[in-house]
Amino acid sequence: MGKADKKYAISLSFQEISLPSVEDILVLGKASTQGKNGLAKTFEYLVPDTFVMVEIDDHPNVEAIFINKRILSKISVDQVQRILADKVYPFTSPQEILKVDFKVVVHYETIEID
Amino acid sequence: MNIAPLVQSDVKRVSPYASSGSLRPHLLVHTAVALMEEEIFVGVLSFKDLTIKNKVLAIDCLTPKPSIDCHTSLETAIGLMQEHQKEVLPVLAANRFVGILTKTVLVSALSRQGIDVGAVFDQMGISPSEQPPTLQALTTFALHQNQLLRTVAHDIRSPLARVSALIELSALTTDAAQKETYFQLMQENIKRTFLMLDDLYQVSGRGDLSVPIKSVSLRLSEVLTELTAHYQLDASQKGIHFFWDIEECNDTVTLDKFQFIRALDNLVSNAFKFTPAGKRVFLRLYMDQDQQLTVAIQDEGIGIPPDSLPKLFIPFSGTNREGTHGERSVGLGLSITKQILDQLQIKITIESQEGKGTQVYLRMGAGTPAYQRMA
Repeated sequence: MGKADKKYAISLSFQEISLPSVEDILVLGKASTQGKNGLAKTFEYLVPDTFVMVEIDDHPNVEAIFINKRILSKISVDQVQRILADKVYPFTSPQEILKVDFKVVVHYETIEID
Repeated sequence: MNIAPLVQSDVKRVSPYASSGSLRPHLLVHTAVALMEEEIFVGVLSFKDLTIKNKVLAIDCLTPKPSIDCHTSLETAIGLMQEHQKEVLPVLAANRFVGILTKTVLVSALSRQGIDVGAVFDQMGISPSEQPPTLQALTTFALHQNQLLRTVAHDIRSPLARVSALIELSALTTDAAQKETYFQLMQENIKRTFLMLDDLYQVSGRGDLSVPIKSVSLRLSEVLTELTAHYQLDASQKGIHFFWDIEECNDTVTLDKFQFIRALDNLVSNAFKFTPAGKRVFLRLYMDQDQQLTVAIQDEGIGIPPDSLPKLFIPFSGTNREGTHGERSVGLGLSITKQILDQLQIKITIESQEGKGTQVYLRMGAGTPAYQRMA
């Protein structure tokens, strides 16, 4: 078949993305091929001073988590860890890297003013 | 005496963010590399670290190792190595990296000094089973390492030769689909080479060449069908006609697929090696009359002299010969194959007639661990 006989169909689309794709929290599995140091460096290059790495020593599957500092201005690292340990770690396999959407809404029921 | 004269300073320095894949070939030959970030010492990385951690970047493969300085005594250094289970330690001077100290060099020096290594360890409360080897044991170990090196050379030749041939073929074709097939075959061969190297690394610390077996349930017909593309390529390189006949039968087996392929690769590559161009090689899977699942590799090659047949599985027995196209032969292939097949509990039989050809049969009888008849 000659070159002139060929027809090409091209499917094309595009959309904006932002890097890194993680906005809130990233959970890194112990056996993931990416390691905590490499990921920390990636965050440092792409979004300097935005994420905090917390090493997890007491979980069999989770090596570290990366938390957006914006979250930590509202609740503590310990509180975040407790929530993740309860709701996310049970579903994390050692090979995985999980992106966690973690929105904090602060709501006051009653505000008393003098 | 201190460790200063034993420090190896010509250690390769690399970025901590270098890919572990790029360091693997270097670490197969050298003991360790030093990870340096802008002249700041980050750590010493060994091949064992790469294998244990298996991460993309060098820095994520590092394992903690205590550092020592040039004034450290031999006894303290060996104690630290034993305590932390390390075969290499970084040597620093005023927080600057100056080199590494390896366990092999250290134990050898202790023995040369006439120091009773066993007594040193007894004083440290380290049991004999945890102690490093004596000089005599090291000599035996060196011989074993030498044999292992030959095994590496032998086993990685086939997949590398295939990759080389596939690169040439993909350069010659303009067909995108064909190129894609070649790339997939290349990838499979490279993956197998790495698996082989990891295995060989694991056996390098032991006194024999037995390999770790990870058996799973699989259809042998599927494994063989997968391999025919590779074997066709090998055959076409030499102008040999390759035929296969994979019979529909009860072929579910419990096997370590990778090790089985390694053994079969050796046997098929031998068939190709000793068969001249224009002749035929057959690969068959069938159930024989005794209800044994059988893989047969038959060739119309030069055959094996009768006096060599009993010695085929003995390493370096002198039965190795050049292939029909001058291919080199190390003299290890069949001994490695036999060892793997023994571990897989598969029986191998070789029949041959000089000038007529060779038939190799791999048999898995009902009831053996390899062959589990499905209801």
